[in-house]
Amino acid sequence: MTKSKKKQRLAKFISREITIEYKTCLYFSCITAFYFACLLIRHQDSAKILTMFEMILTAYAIGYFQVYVLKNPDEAEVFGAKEAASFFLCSGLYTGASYIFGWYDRIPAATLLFFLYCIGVSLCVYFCNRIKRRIDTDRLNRMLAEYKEKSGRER
Amino acid sequence: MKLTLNQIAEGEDEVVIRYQNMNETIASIIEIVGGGRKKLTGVWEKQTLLLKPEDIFYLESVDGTTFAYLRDKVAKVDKSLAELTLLFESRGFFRCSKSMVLNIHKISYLKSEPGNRIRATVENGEQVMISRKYAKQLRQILKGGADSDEE
Repeated sequence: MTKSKKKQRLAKFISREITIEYKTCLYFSCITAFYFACLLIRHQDSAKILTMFEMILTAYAIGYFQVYVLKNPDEAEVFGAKEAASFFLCSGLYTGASYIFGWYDRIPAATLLFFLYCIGVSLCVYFCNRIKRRIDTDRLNRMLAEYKEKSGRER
Repeated sequence: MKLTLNQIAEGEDEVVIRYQNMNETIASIIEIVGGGRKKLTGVWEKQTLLLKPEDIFYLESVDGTTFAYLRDKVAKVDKSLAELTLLFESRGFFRCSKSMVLNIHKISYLKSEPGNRIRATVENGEQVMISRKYAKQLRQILKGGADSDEE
């Protein structure tokens, strides 16, 4: 393998790892927000460090699964059956983890609500990414027009 | 090559080039007369053509051979993509992949794609996917042309 190919592979690997880090932070902050809300509803003002650790590990594991297996469904160009299935699967995995680790004391209503919340978060992330790309597209085309105009003046 | 010089008393200076086949020497003379604007020679249907960079949509390397894509012609060029990028980067040509050099002036639409990639639609309807690495370079080139530069 040539040096440049090795470099390219390394860059691709680092880029994927950064995507996973980003996803982990994003989903972790969303699930902790739900966890904190549940605690506050139950008049508890302290969270377990162990639960937080479990949450971040779960977010990492699902982040790897999303990037390497599901190929980034929340960054997909169009929302189709594959993306919907991926969102259901990942939300199911988060909910399964919450049940196994007892984040919501295995209360069925809270677990179901958490599942729906996870689907909502996935959809929000998907639509945020889409809006971000649309804004970027507008910006790119504006820069392109300005570039052509500027080059035209210089000619 | 026969050289004929005629001095005139009045009127505009004029250079008339009479040639049978376009070649590098003629192209160089045209380049000098044309005020140093670099042109390119390419072969299309056994004819040697003088290609204006502004008419080229993109340049592509296929199995080590470089082709220039124009509106209705595809001409074979005897220069490498690296040479052509160097030669025409000031004219809006940029390397958009390992095997392609795109004329920015011929891009009609840009679309942001997942993974920081860019899909460029060329005026002839062709779509080119620009990877993250080259997309970053394109953004930098375009930023040079944009007055406002907000993130």
